[in-house]
Amino acid sequence: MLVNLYVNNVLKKYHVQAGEFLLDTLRNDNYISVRRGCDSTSCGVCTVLIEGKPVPSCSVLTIRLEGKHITTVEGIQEEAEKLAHYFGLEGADQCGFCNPSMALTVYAMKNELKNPTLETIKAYLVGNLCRCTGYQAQHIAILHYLEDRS
Amino acid sequence: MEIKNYYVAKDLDDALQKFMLSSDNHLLGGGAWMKNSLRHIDTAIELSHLVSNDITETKEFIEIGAMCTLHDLSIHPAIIKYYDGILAQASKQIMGITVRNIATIGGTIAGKYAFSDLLTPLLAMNCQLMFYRQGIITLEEYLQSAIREKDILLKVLIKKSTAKGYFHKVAKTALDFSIVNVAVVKDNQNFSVCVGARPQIAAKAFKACELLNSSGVINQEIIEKAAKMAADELTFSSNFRGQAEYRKMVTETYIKRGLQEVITNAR
Repeated sequence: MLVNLYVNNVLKKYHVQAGEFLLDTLRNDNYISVRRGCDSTSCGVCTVLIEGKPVPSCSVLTIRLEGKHITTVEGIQEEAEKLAHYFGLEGADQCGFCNPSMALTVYAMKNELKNPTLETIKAYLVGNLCRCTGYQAQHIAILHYLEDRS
Repeated sequence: MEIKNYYVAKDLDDALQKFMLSSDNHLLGGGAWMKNSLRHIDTAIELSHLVSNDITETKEFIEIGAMCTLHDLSIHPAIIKYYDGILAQASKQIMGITVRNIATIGGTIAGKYAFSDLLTPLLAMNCQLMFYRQGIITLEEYLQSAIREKDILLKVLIKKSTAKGYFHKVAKTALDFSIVNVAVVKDNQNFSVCVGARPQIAAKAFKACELLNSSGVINQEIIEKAAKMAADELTFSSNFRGQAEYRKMVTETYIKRGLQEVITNAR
């Protein structure tokens, strides 16, 4: 079955099986920043934005997305680099496996919430697991990133 | 998991006919738990263009389209306003934002999930379900029926009320399913005490509700008696998240706290 998707604003045509998930479609097309983690909706590393909303790509059937806009971390490169800068300053970046999904979720949060508090940030990021950092440095980095109006 | 075919239904009649053709044909909700709950789907039936995802208010009811996501539910002003926002609270505590952006209220109800945090407050609020073929039935009736004829859930109806509400989820981590969850609603002098994730489907503690509803003045003694009665009348089981005994003990405690809260804060 043919599905037309706008991946990072570029029209892509994919021939997919009925049961193919977006994670597989994107990774097969070399969007390898979309990670495969638990593959069961729990860890958040496969997060992409569909129409600006963060979703777990491991659990969304590609066939259901005709005409939708999908954003991977490559699609928000400038913002991701800015966030990475603050992650670096706080030593919040270790293995880096969760960073693309974290960046996308933070980007979506920035667009959805006005002046989120630390508690709101923590609640928003509940679904994005990081097994290296213990989160504290990431939370501080995210606060600095949100304060940066440049 | 395997999905052989994907079918976009032309209308609700068409969807229902396809659904009834085989026990391996399934209606697609949000798909959040699909991988974990189904191994084989012959035909996955698309409904998202036929069933609403809106939340609207009429004079008497809040009407929630079955395709409404848990995130939309958790931030809607009407859901936050009525029953002290217990449905919004429950939604907000389910997994992370990514899952809440795909999981739907319709999928949660149709799945009758034993771990559900939504069914408990919905049951306590005495909500009604609007099905395509059967029309309107109560959630209580739906949950109690072991086998139901195949149908399509269109809307969830919640009566507008100034009732007080309480919801508490007991879980090991923010991402984990509940060990147990408790919802208490006080609508005038009518109490509704419900417990879910026991780990069985959400249920109402009828004897405890009867005691509370027949007692004129609710004092601490009645609260404690009702909480114990509820914990005794409901059944609890053990799994890797918690033992039956533990579930029963925390249930009694949180019902007590819930009753105290809805009585103390009563308008």
